[in-house]
Parts: sequence; C-alpha cells; structure tokens
Amino acid sequence: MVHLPKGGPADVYAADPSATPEAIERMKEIWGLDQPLHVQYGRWVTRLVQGDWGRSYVERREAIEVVADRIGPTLRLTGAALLVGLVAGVGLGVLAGVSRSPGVQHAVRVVAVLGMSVPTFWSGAIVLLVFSSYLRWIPAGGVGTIGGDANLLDALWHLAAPALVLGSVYVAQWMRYVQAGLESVADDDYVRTARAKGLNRTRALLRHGLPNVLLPLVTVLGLELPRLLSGAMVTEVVFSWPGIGRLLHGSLVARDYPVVLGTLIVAGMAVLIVNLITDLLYGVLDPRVRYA
Amino acid sequence: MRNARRSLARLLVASVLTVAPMAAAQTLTILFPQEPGSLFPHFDLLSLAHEAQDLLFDRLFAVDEQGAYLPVLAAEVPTVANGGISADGRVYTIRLREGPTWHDGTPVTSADLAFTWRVITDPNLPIPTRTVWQDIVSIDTPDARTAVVTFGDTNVSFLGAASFAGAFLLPSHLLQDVDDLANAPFHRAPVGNGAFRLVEWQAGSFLRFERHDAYWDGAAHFEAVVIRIVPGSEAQRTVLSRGEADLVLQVALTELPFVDGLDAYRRISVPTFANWQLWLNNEDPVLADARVRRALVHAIDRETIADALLGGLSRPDDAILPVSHWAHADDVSRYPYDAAAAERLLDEAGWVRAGAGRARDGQPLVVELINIAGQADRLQVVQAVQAYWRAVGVQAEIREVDAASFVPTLSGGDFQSAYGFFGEGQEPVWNLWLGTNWQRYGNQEALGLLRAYGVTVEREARRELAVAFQRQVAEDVPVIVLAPRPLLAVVRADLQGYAPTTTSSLWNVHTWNR
Amino acid sequence: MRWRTFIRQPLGVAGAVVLIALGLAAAAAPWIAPFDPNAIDLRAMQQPPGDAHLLGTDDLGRDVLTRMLFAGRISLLLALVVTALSVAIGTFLGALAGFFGGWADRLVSLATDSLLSLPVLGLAMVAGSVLRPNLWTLALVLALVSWPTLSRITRAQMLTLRERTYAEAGRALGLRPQRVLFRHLLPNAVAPLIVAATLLSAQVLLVESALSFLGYGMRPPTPSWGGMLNEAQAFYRQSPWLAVFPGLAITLTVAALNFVGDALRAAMGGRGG
Repeated sequence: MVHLPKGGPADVYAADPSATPEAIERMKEIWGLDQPLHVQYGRWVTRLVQGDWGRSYVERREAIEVVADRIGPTLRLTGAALLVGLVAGVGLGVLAGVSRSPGVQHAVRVVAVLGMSVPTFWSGAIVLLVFSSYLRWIPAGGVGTIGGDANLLDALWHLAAPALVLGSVYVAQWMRYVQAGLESVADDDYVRTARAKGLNRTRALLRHGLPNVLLPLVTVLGLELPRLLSGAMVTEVVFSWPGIGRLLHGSLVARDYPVVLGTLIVAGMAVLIVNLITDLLYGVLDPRVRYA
Repeated sequence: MRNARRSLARLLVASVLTVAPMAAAQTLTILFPQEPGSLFPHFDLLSLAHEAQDLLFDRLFAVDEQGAYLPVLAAEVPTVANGGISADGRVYTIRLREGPTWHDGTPVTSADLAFTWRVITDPNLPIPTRTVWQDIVSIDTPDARTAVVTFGDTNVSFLGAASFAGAFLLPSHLLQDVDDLANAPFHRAPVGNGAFRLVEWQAGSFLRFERHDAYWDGAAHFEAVVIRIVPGSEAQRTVLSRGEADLVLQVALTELPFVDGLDAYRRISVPTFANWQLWLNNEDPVLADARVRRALVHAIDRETIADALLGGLSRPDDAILPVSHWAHADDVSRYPYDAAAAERLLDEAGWVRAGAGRARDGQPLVVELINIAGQADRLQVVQAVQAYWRAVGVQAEIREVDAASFVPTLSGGDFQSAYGFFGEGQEPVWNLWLGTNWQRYGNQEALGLLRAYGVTVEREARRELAVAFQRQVAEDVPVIVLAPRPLLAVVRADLQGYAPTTTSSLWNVHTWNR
Repeated sequence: MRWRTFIRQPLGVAGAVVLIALGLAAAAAPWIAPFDPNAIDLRAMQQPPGDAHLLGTDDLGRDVLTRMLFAGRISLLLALVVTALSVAIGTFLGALAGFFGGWADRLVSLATDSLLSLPVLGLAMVAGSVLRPNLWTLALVLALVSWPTLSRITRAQMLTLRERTYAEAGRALGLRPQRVLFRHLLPNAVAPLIVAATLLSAQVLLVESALSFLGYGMRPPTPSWGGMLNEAQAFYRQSPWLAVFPGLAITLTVAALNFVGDALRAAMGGRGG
C-alpha cells in the first residue's frame, strides 16, 4: 500500500560514487527491499500480526516505539481541540437555538462558519505572529518550556493556542447540530409541558430540551477523531507540536514506511477505541439503552 | 476559593515569567528546522545531523577559517616534511593526542580509528558514503597513540576526508561487540568524545546536551546545549523575534529582510565551496548538443538572479570551483546574459521559432527542470530560470520532486535538467565527475585530468590539473553554474566565538561564550 | 426544492452571489486578467497593492491579481471535479449497498468505514506521494478519499426509501431492480446528496490548501489559491498581501459554500445534524 517504487530508503546510497550497483542491491537485501512489493507487504503484515511493527529507517528503532512517543501529545492536542469545539459549538448552538432574533442567529452562524473556513496553517501563523511575536501572551510553540519545571500550568499555556486553532474548525458543526436539535424539540410535548407549568421558553428549552439534544451527540464524537487527526497534521507542524500528525508527515517525506504504516494503524485503532467508549458511554447516559 | 484562584494566578505568572529565562542563562540554544533521526556518525547524509554530531564527537583534524588544517584528536597535522606522509602519498602516520577521553572516561586510542574505518567500510552496514575510506588497505596500530594508514595508491584526499563529519571516531570499546550496528541503541543514545554529551532526547521537541567536564581542550563555557526542533517557518521567526535561540543554521535567503530587522541578532555568511547549479543531462537527445547547452546559459540573467534572489551575496561565475577555493580557475569561457546569442545558438542547432516556442522537425523544444519541493528560495530561482528560458523559446516545465526522490531521479538519468547545489571540499575528490556523474559528462580527455589529479602529490601540479579541467568544463557546459551558494547563519549579537568554516559550524563550540 | 425558502435565507443568498461572482471572474480570467500570470519581473518584486498592480506583486514580481484569477480557475475546477467524481463513486456504491444489501453492502460498508476511520489528509498524502501531481491526479486522489461520506448518505437513504410504497409498488409491478433503483429510488435521494456535495466541495478547497502546506498540493508554477497561500508563508511579515488575498479567497469561498449548503438544506426540507 505504501511501499513506493522510486525513492526508497536504499536509494540515497545511489548518491555515493563508491556505491556500486551490487552494493546498493546488498543494501536493499539487508532491508528486505529487494523483494517485490507484495512480498514486502506480506512480510510486514505477517510480522505485524506477531506484534512486530518493523523498524524505522530514520530513527533506527522499533517503529512502535517511534509512534508511541508521539501518542501523548496528540491525545492532549486533539482532546483539548475537541473540548474547545464542543464548548464553543454547544454555547453558540444554544445561543442560536433559544434566540428568536434572526440577527443573533445569523451572527452566530457567520462566526462559526468563518472558524471552519480559514485554512489552519494560515490562522495558526497569524496567531503566532500576533499573540506570540508581538503581544508575547503565548509561547512560540512546543509542548512545554524547555529546561523549565514540567507543571500543569506550563503545559496548558503551551496547549492553548494550538487547541484553539484546531478546535475552531469544529465549532460550526456542533453549533449547527445543537441549534437544529433545540429547534426541533421546541414543539415536543415535554418542553411544552414545562412551559405550561410556567417556565419561560429559554428555561424550558435548556432544562428539558438540551439534555435530549446533547445525548446523541456523544455517539458522533468517535467519528470526529479522523478529522481531528487530519487537522492535527497541519497544526502540529505550525506549532512545533511533537505529535502523530507531524510524525506521519515527516515519515512520508522521508519515506519511512514502517512508521507511516504504524501511524495509520494507531489512528485506526484510536477510532475503534473511541467508538467503543462512546457506545458504552451512551449506554450509561441513556437508561433506555442496555447492553446484554 | 478566592485564595486558590490567586495562588493559581501567581503560579501562572511564575511559570511564565521566571522559569524560562533563568534556566536558559547558561544554555546555548540552537534552532533546527528538522530533527536528525540518528546521531550515530556515518549513517546519515543529513547535514543537520552532522552538525548535531559535532557537539558529541571530535574528528582527527579541523579546517580553520583560513582553510588551514588544525590537529584535533591528532597531535599534529602530518606532512611529507614531518614524516607523517610518505613521499609517494600512500602511507599516513597519525599520532593521536594524549588526553581525549570518551564520555565514559575511557581514553581515545588508535584502535578507535581502526575500528571506525572497519565500520565505514563494512559492506553489511547501510553506510551512505565510504569515499576515501574505502581506498584504505590497512590501518596498523603499533601503539595506542599511533595509527599507520596505508592506501593502495597515492591518496591526496585523506586529510580533507579526516576533517569532515565523515571522520568522527567511534568508541570501539562500546561498539565492537555489538551485533547489529545498523539498529544499535547507540543511534539514539550515543557516547562520544566531544565537548558535550547527550542527556535527553524528547522526540519531536528537543535534544539536550550537557558539557563533558573532562574535555581535552578544557570544558566548554556553556553548561548545556539545547537543539530545539521548530519545523514551521512562522514559528521559527517567532522564536527569533522572542530571542529564544542563540543560533540558527542554514537560514533561507527569503528570510533576509526579516533577519536584518532583528536588533538582537546578526547574520553571518558561512564559507562554503558549493555552487547553485543546473545539472544538464548530456545524454538527452535535446541537450546532447553543446550549442543548446550554451544557449541555455546565455539565456539566463544570472547577475539579476544573484542580486534579486540570492541576496546579492555572491557573484555568478562560470568555473565549477568557486572563487574562494584554492584551485579556482580565473580564465574560463564566459557566458554573459545575452538572449540574442541564445536565440542564434538555438537557431544554429536547428531549433527554429514556432509561435511562442521553438521546434525541430515538428518536435517542440521542451526542457523539464527538476527541483526539490518545499523550499521558497529554491522555487523562486527555478521559476526565474523557467521564465528566462521561455523568453528565448525554450518551453521549460518545472517538475517538483521531494528530497527522497531527487537523488534517484538524477542518478537514474530520468531527467533533462535539475536545480541543486554541489560543492567540493578543501581537497576535491571530484565525486560529481568520476563518481555519480549525474550530468553524464562524456569528455574522457577532461576526465583524464581528474584521474591524474587523484595521484599527484605535489599541490601546485594538482592545481594546474584542476584549472585545466575547469576550462574544459566551461567550454563544454555539462552543467550550468549559477552562482556560489550563499549559506547564512543567524546568531545572537552577544554570542562570542562562532566561527564557521567550510567543514563545520560547531568545531570550536567549547570556546563559545555569552 | 422550494426556491422561496432559499431566497429567504440571507446568508445562503449572499453565499450564492459570492460564488457566482468568483466563478465568473475565474472563468473569464484569460480575458480580464491585466497581466500574464507567469511573467516574472525581478526588478518589481513584492510591490504592495497600488496603481500599477491592484493587489501588488509576488516574490517574483508577478501580478497577484492575475494569479488570483488564474488560481481561482484551478481551485474551483478542482473542487468541482472532485465533487463530481465523489458523487459518482459515492452514490453508485452507496446505492448498490443500500439497495441490494448482503455481501455488496458488507463490502462497501467495510471500505467506507475503513476510509472514514483514517485521516483524510494522511491518505491523500500517501496517494499523492506516488503520483506525479497535476490537476487530474490530485482530483483523483481527493475523490478517492472523499466518496465515503456520500456513499454513506446514499446507502442510508436507500435503506429507508426501498421500503416505501413506490418502491414496493415498482417491485409489485414486476419492474427490474435496476429500474426501480435508478428511476424511482435515486431521484428521491437527490436532495440530501446535493447538500452533502456542496459541503464536500468546501472541504476540498481546505484539503487542497492543507496539502499544499504539507508539500503535496498543486505543483508550481500552476497557481492555485492553496498553493499561493502556501508560497506566501515565507513572506508573511515582509509582504502580507501575498497571504491575505488567497487566504480571503479560500475563506470566502468555503464559507459561501457552507451557507449555500445550509440554505439548500432548509429549502429541501431537511433537518440539521
């Protein structure tokens, strides 16, 4: 799937005048690159099943170690971005959903949609330029102060900007979802009952409508992860964040196939795990769903 | 609640304002755009990896700012006069300095040199370049301080090779019993003999080095060195504008206006013998005609490119060794910007005007130009060349490839022209001509001059051979020299001691101070 | 489709106006552009917007307005082609899966789920690193990673529609399944597909610009908005206009497509989600 015909890792040795064709062949043999692609791929899959992900050509250690080093930062970044997107999205969605002023609704929608329409490598650079270079409010990237004490505040201070930039992309869809949900439950019986009991529209919607709107939202969270990882590939490069996305980018550029494949495996597994968790969570939150 | 909030705020302020600057006071911070994968010498061609290894490892010799050899691990520079080099240039006797130790305290010995040679030439290891070292027949070690290096034939390049990053010594006592050196833990946890040792490596973030207190030339002034990995170009500018780095190597020329606007930094031109050049495939049906190749040089306004796109930092030349090189040839054929001459030569070669382009026997004149993707300053030059060629009717098409496929594309001959830089060292080994020969230059008479060069011990005689070769190349135009490659470093104004040479930026890092 | 509902959505109408204006300008680029998009002038580099060059010049002295117009052609054409390809692949496979069920459904769903569980950008980079990038290979790559959302929508529509009366009536009349599928079911699934396709085309513009940033987009000198924005990276501080105009073009177009998509959804009687 990812083994490429030209520009493999052994090819850098063709640059060397002393590297005879035999020597290059020998090099490929050492790395198993002399075999046809489907054989290489078959070998890789066989070893993968046995728990061997292969070795990184660049870092010269187990690909699984290389990938494992990068999981933590990416989890932090995507988790925080998800939170940003959810909080802002639900907030704006509620605002638009309970408001009956078209002006407010349009304004909210414009803000949310603009957030998702700006290329993040551009907005990220502007954030660095304004808030780090000129105003000095945020650091110049990275996960923590190098040489400083590792503490929670320092970590959050570094996390804020990349999480905001990455999270802003997802505000619009949550907003749209919550707004539509609130509008659709506005006429449901329980909301009407609450209003009949004397609650005003806003209170009735928030207290009785919102929980029913938010509950199904849990199930779609898992589907968001691949998109978050896509976004992280860009954000992590912009903010020097040592995560999976940047690793995937760097490995593709360096043709470090075992790491490329390992990264994709981890991404796929993460989606499976998150889907499982959200399913279970949904069961806990919604008493109507019970697992045998 | 209010108390908690206040102490939270105080903590925030403390972590923001005090922790960073205080910890950085005795630390030298170097900004890298890319992370080296491994720090095991000899396994990597990435020049930034070599710079990082320079903190950890010493070589036998260094080249100083004037281009003279300095002994580093060696006690003296061998010459024919002091008996270090045999009269026929085949045998080098290296005497090692008393005092250098590995970071674990073990002395550096001649056995380490012999071991390093065996590793570099081990056919079972993926070592990218074995130039010069592969011509060694034996290294004898009569005692711990003496190594007798014997070549099969006269070799004039050994001192040059032993001054490059390719000559970092390896600790034989730690590595000789390791089965699989290609995948040894040493790649990520190296033990060296240089002024600093590696203490922490946070993948994707930074590498942290502390000084080697027992360094033979006196412990470094800086307590620690941090290599900070910053891939994004705006993040790099931000780090500099906040004053958080002491040194950035290989700064893109497109950053010149930004860099010049920084008060706390100055820029330094790093000496290099490399030229920006266009490889022409001399076996290509279109480019095999020397008139076409000459037309392509005449068509390019190299003076304007040098002024506008190379920061005015270098002047175009037609000799393949730059002016700063001791073997540079002055009187070679010149190809000034002359669009009319270019058109005339193309007409002569049978490529006549057809609309906006040119054609011969109904075939349009198309030249593909290969470039490595992703670097703004390269892309500028390539697009400028494209426009100049199009102006004389050559339909130039740019093909951008990534770095990994550039070399195989050229060595495979699957190209017409390609943009890149190439430089010989202090002692040219003529790889580009006798080895890779990507341009497929077939003038055997000219190449014979280089073969003679390789076995001529006397330096002045060598210079004459090199000059004769440069004249012939300027006549044949197998490659188009654009201009010497300006190499820029940006250093903090208060950093003292940074003195880059053609072989290394960090060779004297232990003497740096702030 | 209720046009009156669409007209009553001010954001949707504004979006449509922006799209039509940009589309017309891009289509007319060769006739209205003031300069040659690839003509360099090393003596007029990085000139700020002014009289001679309305939007300034870039790092090789090329007219930014001209390049913006030509880049618009490429970017909008790319979005169009990718969307068309994705709709074709997605509806075909989704309809197959939803209508026939069984192993066809399992196969298509497996492909859809696996593609949807991986980062689109990563997949596009992997595919892009094998192919020589031009407009068509890039479109193919993007379509290959974009069709699953459309296939999913079509499949879901098929599942609900095929039990509806007109499908059953068709079957009862003895019509061949293909006929039922293409004549009766697909037309009823068009509304949600149009909305999804609109939103997808917005996504394509963003993915193209991200790919440019990561080094796998349209290769120079062919200008695309994403490519121009990426090239401007080196000049954010010296010549901000190089980034501002392509950045605004992308943002405006993506936002406009989203507003139009929302308005279409409302006009076609769909609900949010």
